[in-house]
Amino acid sequence: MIPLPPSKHNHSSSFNFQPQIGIYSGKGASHSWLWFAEILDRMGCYDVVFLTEKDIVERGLEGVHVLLMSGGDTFAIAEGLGEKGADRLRSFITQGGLYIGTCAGAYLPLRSSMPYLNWFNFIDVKISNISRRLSEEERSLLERSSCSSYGDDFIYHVVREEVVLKMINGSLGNRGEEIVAPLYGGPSILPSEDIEPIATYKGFTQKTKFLVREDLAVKTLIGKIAVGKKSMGDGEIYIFGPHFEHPHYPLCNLYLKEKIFKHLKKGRQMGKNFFYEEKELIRGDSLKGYLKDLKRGLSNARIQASGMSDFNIEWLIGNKLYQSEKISVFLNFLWDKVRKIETLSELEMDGARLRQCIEISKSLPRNIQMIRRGIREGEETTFLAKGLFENLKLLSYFFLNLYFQSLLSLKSH
Amino acid sequence: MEYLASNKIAIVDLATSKITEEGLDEDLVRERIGGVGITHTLYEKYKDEDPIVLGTGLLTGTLVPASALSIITAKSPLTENLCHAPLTLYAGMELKYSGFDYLVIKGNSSRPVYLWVHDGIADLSDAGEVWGKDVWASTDWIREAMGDLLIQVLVIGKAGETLSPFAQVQINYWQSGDRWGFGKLFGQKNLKLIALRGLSLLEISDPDGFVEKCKKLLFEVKKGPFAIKKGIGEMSATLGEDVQKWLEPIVHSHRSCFNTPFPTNTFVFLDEEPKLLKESKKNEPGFLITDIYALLGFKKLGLSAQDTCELLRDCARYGIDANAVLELNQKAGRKKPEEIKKSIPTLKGTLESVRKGRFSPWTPNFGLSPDEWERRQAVAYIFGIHPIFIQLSPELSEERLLELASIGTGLEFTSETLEKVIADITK
Repeated sequence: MIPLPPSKHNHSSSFNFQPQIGIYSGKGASHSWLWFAEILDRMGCYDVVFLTEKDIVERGLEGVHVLLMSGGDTFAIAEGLGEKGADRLRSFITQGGLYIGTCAGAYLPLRSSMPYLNWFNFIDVKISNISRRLSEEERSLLERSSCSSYGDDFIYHVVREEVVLKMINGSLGNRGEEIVAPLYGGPSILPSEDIEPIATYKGFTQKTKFLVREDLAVKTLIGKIAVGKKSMGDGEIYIFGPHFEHPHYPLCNLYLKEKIFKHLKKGRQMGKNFFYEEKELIRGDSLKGYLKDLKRGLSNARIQASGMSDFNIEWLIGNKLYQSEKISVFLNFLWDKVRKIETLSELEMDGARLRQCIEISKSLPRNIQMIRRGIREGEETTFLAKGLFENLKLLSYFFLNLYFQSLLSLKSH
Repeated sequence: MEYLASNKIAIVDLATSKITEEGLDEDLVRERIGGVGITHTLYEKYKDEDPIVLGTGLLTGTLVPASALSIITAKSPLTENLCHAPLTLYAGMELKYSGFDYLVIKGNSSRPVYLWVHDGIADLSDAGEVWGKDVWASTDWIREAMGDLLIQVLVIGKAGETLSPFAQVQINYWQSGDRWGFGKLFGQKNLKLIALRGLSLLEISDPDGFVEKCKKLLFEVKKGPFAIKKGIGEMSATLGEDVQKWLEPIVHSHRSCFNTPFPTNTFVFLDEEPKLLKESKKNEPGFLITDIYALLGFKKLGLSAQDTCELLRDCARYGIDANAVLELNQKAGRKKPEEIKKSIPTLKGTLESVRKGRFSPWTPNFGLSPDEWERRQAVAYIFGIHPIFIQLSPELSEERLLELASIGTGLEFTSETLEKVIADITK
């Protein structure tokens, strides 16, 4: 956990950030929050802070103008944030914040009676992809891997990969009426007075992977709300069933960018900014040495993960399935970011935090090796995988906070 | 150096365990092109420190057909001359993607070490645990430790550890084109192995133009007379040697080196039904034949294919050049496989077959004059083209390779430059 000094932070620190975009990266997040980080990085938007539930609960969202909540395990997000976290979110939005939720982040604010989720009843809508709307025969067509438990019911997913959306009321401007976006378990929402539809599911493409019979997919998705908006107090909630932040879908990214920057231009004062206490700024050869050490750990882990590619394995961690290739998603993402900054001669980073990153990176190859050996011996490896993904997330959280802060500082100089 | 290169040279000082890095100077590439042109220069630069230089060709690891080659350049303990050994299979390609274009390994370590080269990072580590293990066990050990079966390993066995002049640097489990005793150099330096793995990418100056030219070249190569040939048996037939019938009963499959359109290696099953179509349950069912002359030589001694390949396997595990084993046993009049096997750990004598030349005689001569053969080898070793394949595919002409190098790097390479480099490295 990056220490976020509550009130006695060092205002005279040479770093004085005003992060405006927060990305949730807590225990309920899977890996798609990295996509948000990627597209913001591509846009040259470094005014970004990564937040765990602990950050949100203990520190609140003061200083954050936009909160991006991506995919993962909705129950774990809700449980992690708890009632206090829900209050923090509510205050954030009603005081003028923009909440953008995709996939699990889109389920979170929907009305629910389930424990934990019922603290977040921000939007009074129902979803179509819930098993209670299916006949017995239709239920029997579903595969376990395409369903997530939801009390006595379950949430089911009818397709993966690409879907075609119809954008309503010219929301794409002169870019037409349709947009193609990737769907990985996000909700399809039934019309309600409590939500303004922005886009509905319209159809499929050659790349759509059907998880059920096509007629059931049509029944569940087509015409339902894929993207919706609700105003709440001075703020807004946007929810996206599909992952508009996926970096392979630039038109979707552009749409998100417009929403984010339009909101930021409003220039609302959101209270005190986030501050990080920088203890030990390093640069030049010293920084290069640290980054090389980090690369060493990442490279060894990447190669260990590459050796896992023969194992077709997935783990159920919480309510979320993690495939083994997700290990490389984290590692390659971090690798690319380190590669990007290692040539920036003027860059300064916090040595103490980099050391934390290096320590975690060193543990990763061993984590992966133990999993591989476990699989080979036919042992249960979910516990090990859980630990590995926690470490990967923790490292990403530490490093990306450093990365964006350092680039922001470089840019501002 | 921006394109077709990692832009890095590692200088590994085994005496101090220090590793430093240098950029790959574009002017050096303009002048020396790559591969043996540059390993030769680096050798000269560090020659007082007894270096082993590993290098990639300018086109190694690309879409150019047969761009499988990297090189070891060092002073041969057998000839006392500066010599070059080919690194084929997937080792040449892996070096290119390991994040370094060249590795200079100088000085001697006081204890056994191994060099792990990965994603632009070179690490020296203690090899005490693996010292004493044979080649196969050593390869298994490092792959298990680093977690990937795709790791390419340049490794010595007992022969190198005990400083046999015939010690060979093996590639993974198999014999290499090191006919210069470079395995002894590894042993002298206490360097047990070099493991290579990279997940990096190469940038190309004009990617569309480069890919288009490579596709065209591949199309032409595949129309050539060798396009339908497979394995070491048919390669031998091209040399006028008939091993097909003799070898056929134990042949399991044929295998290519990286991006080599037709396979020059043959895998035989020695402890398993050769025609088995599913994966064998046996741990070590067979052997990959990578050395034509060793195979032919043992056949000429009158050995069966099974006995020959078992001997080749023993040589590979021990890390000794099978040709040396063959020649010295032939001289001693030994013809029984068990006698030959017994001679391996104590092999002594003088070889007649490696007295001259800088390029490894591992590459057969498919009907060229000695001068032509040497020139084709030089071109292969400069650009990183498989040295057997460059003879079998005249489509891979000097002009075409120069053109591809120019398109790929955005630099202008001329035939005059190539001429100068060839003259320098063959003099």
